[in-house]
Amino acid sequence: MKTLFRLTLAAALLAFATASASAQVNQTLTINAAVNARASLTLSVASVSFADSDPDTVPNITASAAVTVTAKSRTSNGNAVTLTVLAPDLTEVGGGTIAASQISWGANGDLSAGTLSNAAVTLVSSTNSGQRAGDMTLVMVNDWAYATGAYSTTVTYTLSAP
Amino acid sequence: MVRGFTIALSFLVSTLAAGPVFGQAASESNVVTATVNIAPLAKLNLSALSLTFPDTNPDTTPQVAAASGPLTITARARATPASTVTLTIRALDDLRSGTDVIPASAVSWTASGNGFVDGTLSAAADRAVGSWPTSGLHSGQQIFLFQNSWSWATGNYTVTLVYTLTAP
Repeated sequence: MKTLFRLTLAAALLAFATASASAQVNQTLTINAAVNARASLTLSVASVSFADSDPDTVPNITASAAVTVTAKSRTSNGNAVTLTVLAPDLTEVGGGTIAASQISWGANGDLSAGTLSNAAVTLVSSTNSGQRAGDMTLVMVNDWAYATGAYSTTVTYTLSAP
Repeated sequence: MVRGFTIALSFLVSTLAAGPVFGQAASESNVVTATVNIAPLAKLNLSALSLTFPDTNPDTTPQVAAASGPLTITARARATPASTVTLTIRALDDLRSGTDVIPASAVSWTASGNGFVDGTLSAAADRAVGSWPTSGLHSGQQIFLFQNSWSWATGNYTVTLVYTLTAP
């Protein structure tokens, strides 16, 4: 009888212990994400123009629109990110030229102010991935010395994120 | 004939031995207790061991879906009555590529299936994937999304996630 009681008690304890234990299981999942080098450059307008004006009354002609520049880039941590502009001199069909340096710009946001040149001029100098943006307001020096004509030039923006 | 006598004698002896006085009705009952022990049990199956988010342009694809598609989860659990079966997920770390880091919270998911919920990864805390008030088989899907950003440094980032199914 004593043995039977012990067995019964042991079985009851075992049943209680089993019933009160919780079950838990783990599984793992590995996630991989590829982040490659990229660069994206957006200009708000494709062209701007300077209206003909009297040099005495308007010595500096503001362009028809500001150029909003948005430069996005992904690069390795610590790498330099640069945005530059360059332009050849303005020319017209008759052979007249106006030096590119006659055009300068004021800037806001992440952009630096500067003056156009046939060589690259830095608009943004930074490091690491990210987005940089700002507005360029182009201004051309109005000079009595210019020969008449319809002048144009193409400004090239280059975003580099090695 | 001898065999019939023997059986009849045995019945008589056993009836007398049972105690009732001859001529009274005899009855006896007994019980058998059947005990089945159903302990808590949990099994978890994922349809894939890894997921990969391909490189894409953040402007055109701000949320990158995993290349392999949805992850199917099958959770089997036996739990004690009035308890809740839970499935959680935790990132063991942020996403890392060398010394570069993308926070685990850049990965989120949408879920389908009864009891499964949407969520965002965390390296600091368990996040609920699903919960159920009863034992049973619970199946659903997670669609993982990676927050694409121009701010991330280039690299191949990795993190390990741990799913935990608990049947209390």
